[in-house]
Amino acid sequence: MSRRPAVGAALVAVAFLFPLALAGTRYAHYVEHLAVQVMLMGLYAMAWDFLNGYVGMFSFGHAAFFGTGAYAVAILVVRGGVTSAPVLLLAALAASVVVGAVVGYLSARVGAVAIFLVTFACAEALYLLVLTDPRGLTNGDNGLAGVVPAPLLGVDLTQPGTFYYVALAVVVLGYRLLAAIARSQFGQVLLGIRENEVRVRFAGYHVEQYKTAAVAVSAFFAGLAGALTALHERIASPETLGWAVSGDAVLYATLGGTGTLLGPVLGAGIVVVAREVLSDLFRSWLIFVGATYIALVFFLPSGLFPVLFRERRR
Amino acid sequence: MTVVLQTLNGLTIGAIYILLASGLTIVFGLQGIVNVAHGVFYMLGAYLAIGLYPRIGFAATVAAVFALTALLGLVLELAGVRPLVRWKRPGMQVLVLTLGVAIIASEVTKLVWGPVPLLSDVPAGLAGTLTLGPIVYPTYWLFVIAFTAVLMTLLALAFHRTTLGILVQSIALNSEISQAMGTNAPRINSLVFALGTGVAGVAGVLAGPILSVYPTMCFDLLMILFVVVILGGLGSLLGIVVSGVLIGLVNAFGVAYLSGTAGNILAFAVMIAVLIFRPLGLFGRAGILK
Repeated sequence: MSRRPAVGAALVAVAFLFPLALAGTRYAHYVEHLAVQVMLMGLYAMAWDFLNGYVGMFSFGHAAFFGTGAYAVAILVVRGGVTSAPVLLLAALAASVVVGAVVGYLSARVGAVAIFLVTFACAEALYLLVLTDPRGLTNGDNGLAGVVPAPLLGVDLTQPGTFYYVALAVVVLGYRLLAAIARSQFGQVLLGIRENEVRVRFAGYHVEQYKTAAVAVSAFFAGLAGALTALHERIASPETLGWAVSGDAVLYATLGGTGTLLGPVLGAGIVVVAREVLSDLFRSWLIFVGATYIALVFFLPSGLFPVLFRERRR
Repeated sequence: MTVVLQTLNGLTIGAIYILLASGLTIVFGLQGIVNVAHGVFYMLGAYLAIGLYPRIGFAATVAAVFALTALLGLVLELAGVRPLVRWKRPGMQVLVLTLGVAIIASEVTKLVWGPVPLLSDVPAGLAGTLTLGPIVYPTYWLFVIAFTAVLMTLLALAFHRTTLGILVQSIALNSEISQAMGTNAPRINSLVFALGTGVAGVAGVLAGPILSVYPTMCFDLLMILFVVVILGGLGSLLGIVVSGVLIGLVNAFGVAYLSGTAGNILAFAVMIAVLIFRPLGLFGRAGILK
């Protein structure tokens, strides 16, 4: 018996009531900002987990998709003057899926460990491209500031509180979609690839095509998280494409538990809050990140989620 | 003349790539793992050389750094990698573990040596320039090319002519069967891992006066290093020599004729072009890959 639906419903209820409980207190705005960060990072890590936990592809270049989403939105707003939120999101998702398809095409053809190298190289190349800014689009080092969309149907994303509920809705929807994809026939083939690629190939499936599509799906959700992050922070900076952001996805997901989709959200929550506290106290707080990686490998290889909720990893 | 000079620049930078990639690629061929912390040993070599070279001279620095980084590599292999190799998907576990090691090492370096890039001196005996007909070129850079050529030749000889080299090849081909024939694969794996990190440390000593020395250099070089390893074909020693030279040249000409980062972006484009036609890289063989 899975306790997952109950856990999910409880989480959503708590998340829904959270701003109401905070309302009026001194830190309401700050905590809400942090909570949105947790949700968006959770969605991003979930996208990574779909690839690692369900297909067995270990990406170290998810920043490429996240950053593409962020920069697609930022370039359209700042350079193109487009402020319609649906247009921005659609463009960001399209761009992320295209980048995902290209990275996926390359990753699908190399071995399991080489995927790490290929995705990393792809993300770094994109990072260098944005940093160099050969066409005068990305504003190089400084990034693009002033990413503010126009209100749509009375929903004004710049209003405090509104973004929180939009992000919550997107994360819940994203989880349901990813879980549905994992359960679909497509998802079952992906699980098969994770378990025994050769056998799936012999059964007549084009493994490369499935893998490419899986990366594109993951890029879709990572790009969505990136686009919303750019709208939330109102800036797209080159760091969103850096290896540290790629590493964040790995950290959140492995801490929370891969192959669970909800675990990464938990991991994102812990790390984002811990970072907020520790980076104030210690300048070298990244040492904690490194130590967490090492400790996870040896003591908690399947992450927190299965331990907390006694669920076996699928 | 610029073409000749840029070719030499490309060979020098390519030599550093080859030294670094050799350890990575052989360890992958043997154990099917990639050590993300490989750059840490390179960084450590560069920083140690700054302190050691003025005191004990260049040759002793190279030897001392090799010994120390090989020893540290051995510790990482025995304490970190070996326990993980038996687990499910060990490649992924090792990636996460060594990523953690690299992050910590980079932060500790920042604490010990500070965040500002340091300058490393060219060894006194190798300072100045050499005049080859119409070309004037820094002696030290030529030394780096020659050093790498000699080291890689020795490595290739050791690979094909010594008992240990043959055993290494047999493990790369099929670890189980090789062990069934009596090879002590774990011991050889550890030894090769340590040799690889030792060579990475030496690469750091050599690269110090050419590239700058700073606390995140262990990450910044990874992208180009991965490109070299993938392009050559994971597990192939000949592959990384060819791709190291190729990427070095692409890099030098890209930097000279386009811009500072164009070199790396071009190198990446070359990798994509090769991967489309040869997914296993230039010299990768399906049998060797795990």
